[in-house]
Amino acid sequence: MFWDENYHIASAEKHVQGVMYMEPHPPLGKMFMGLMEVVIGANDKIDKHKFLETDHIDGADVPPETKFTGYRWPSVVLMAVSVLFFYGILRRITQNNLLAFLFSSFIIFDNALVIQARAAMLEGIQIFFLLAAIYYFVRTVTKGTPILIRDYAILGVIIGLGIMVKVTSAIELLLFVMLFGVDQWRNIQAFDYHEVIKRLVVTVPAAVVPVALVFLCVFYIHIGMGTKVIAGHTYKASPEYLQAIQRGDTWSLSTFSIGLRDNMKYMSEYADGVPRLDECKADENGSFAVDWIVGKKTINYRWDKDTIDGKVQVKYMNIVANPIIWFSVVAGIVLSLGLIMSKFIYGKQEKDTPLFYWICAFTSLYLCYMLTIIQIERVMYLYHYLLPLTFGSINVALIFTYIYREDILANKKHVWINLGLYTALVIAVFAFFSPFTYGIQMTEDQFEMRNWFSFWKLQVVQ
Amino acid sequence: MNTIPFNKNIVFSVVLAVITFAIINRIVPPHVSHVFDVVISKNRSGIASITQARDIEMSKTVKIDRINLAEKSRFRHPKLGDIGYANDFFVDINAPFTVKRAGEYVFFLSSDDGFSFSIDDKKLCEFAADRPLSTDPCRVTLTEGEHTFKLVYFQGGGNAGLTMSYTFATDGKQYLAGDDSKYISFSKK
Repeated sequence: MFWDENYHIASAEKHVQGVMYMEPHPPLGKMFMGLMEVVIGANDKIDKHKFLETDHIDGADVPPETKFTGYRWPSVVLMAVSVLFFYGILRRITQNNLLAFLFSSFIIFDNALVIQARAAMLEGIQIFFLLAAIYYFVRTVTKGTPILIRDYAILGVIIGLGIMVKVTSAIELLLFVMLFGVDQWRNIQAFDYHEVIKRLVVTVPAAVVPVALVFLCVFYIHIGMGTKVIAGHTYKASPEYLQAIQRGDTWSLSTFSIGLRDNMKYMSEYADGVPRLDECKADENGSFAVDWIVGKKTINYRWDKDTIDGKVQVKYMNIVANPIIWFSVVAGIVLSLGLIMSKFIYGKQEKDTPLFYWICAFTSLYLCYMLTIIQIERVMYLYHYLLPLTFGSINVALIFTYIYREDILANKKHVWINLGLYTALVIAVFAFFSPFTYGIQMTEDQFEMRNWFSFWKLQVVQ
Repeated sequence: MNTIPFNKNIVFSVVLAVITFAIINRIVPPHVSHVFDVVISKNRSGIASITQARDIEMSKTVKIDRINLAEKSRFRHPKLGDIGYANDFFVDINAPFTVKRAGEYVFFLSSDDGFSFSIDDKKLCEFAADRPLSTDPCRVTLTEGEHTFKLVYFQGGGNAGLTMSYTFATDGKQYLAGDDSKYISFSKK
């Protein structure tokens, strides 16, 4: 186990054994982990009672034969399925299978995405719902038929599920604004505000109500399943809530109301208690949001040191960027901003209007997320960049398509050779950094060979 | 109006080539010219003295250009990185060299821990036990022509390092062992 796995596995096990708990993150991700732990049943004969008595599992709490397959399964599998959504998004927008296929390497071969996704952490599940929502949005916009109220509602359900894994998924709410913009583009252009407002009155509830319902349903299940309280672990639950649990009345609406209030209060107090970033602290793992774009700062989640043939060899589990992907994303955003400015400031006509607006959409998602996250005062970590990295990765494919539009349409060999080499570079660099991702033993020299930039702050273990 | 021809595909190809070259340049293992064979032997037990009986577990030979092995307070080559073991190892370097000008020479041996230095089988200086990185000057009068030096070093635990340099006594300028000068040359293999 490493990093937040120690927390999430403890929470997931509480779902398995029906123990009440509260956490800063919404419960859906842990519910999936708990569900798959039950379905796979790899630890059926193992006593995991210590998982219930703590919110952070230590090594001593884990019986040696414990397998983490079930807890990790949702993140691994849903992230793998996400690749199909990523491919589908690019295929629908660019109308080019090969291009979508090659750029899908951005989501498959990023070291930071892979290390998060193969652990019992929330990002793999979160990105699944993120890409599912974007795919549904893209599909709705590109299918060529009018946008229906049902489309808002389905999108609302998917976005709601994402938010219930991690609240940073709330950035997806912007998809509603975009969907409405596409839906009402003609009326907006014609300044027909009457029609726009008329549609708004219908679409806002159609979008927001499903999000709210998902929120309430997930918490209803979470509260309902919490039928036991472990002594000393009441999470500041109110006496009424604790009494309701003791009565076995966890599924009633009145208990739900109290439980939801207590959960919200706990989440709020927890968020207030999270420290701020302190770069002067020697072991600070957090970093400034603006630094994330270049992969700063990596986090050494776990290391195991061994001496083999007299040489120190260390297995690192370290979140590290695939620099080809991360720097491409930055380059893509810079190029996109240039393109957007060329139209809106310098009045240059775009050469492919739909593609131009898709670029605007994904650049906006990227920038809005970053601008929002910069406002947050609590300490944040490099993996909080994985969402905008996903937007940025889609954007790279789109800006590439825009720049080489004529050559792609003409099927010029040179553009495909370039793209093939680009993809090969992405894969090769992923493989090169994979010892950090898969915990493959390295000597200090092998570590230094991968320590490309001092600002990454990779820390060697001697 | 004529415009400068601009092929976006070529630009992208060049960018990819530059990135690839930069990566290869960064990750290709370093290489230095072969002047000395450094035999590094891991001892099974702890080492406290250069004269201690050896109980060798494993050995390896590393080819280096200069005897400048004291980077980051470890037995480490500036380009090749760590070439020793974690602790408790002996190092043996036997190498020929050519004296171009007869006279008095000073060899400076810096070691952490101990060392023993001989030329033509005559021991010139030694520090047998543990110590932090310290330098001993070893004076010797050499005739013109071929000679052979033998340097033995050991590392017990903690910090490590070994460097060897020389100077022609009346000149005063120091050269690292491995660097040719108008006084001494080392044969490249």
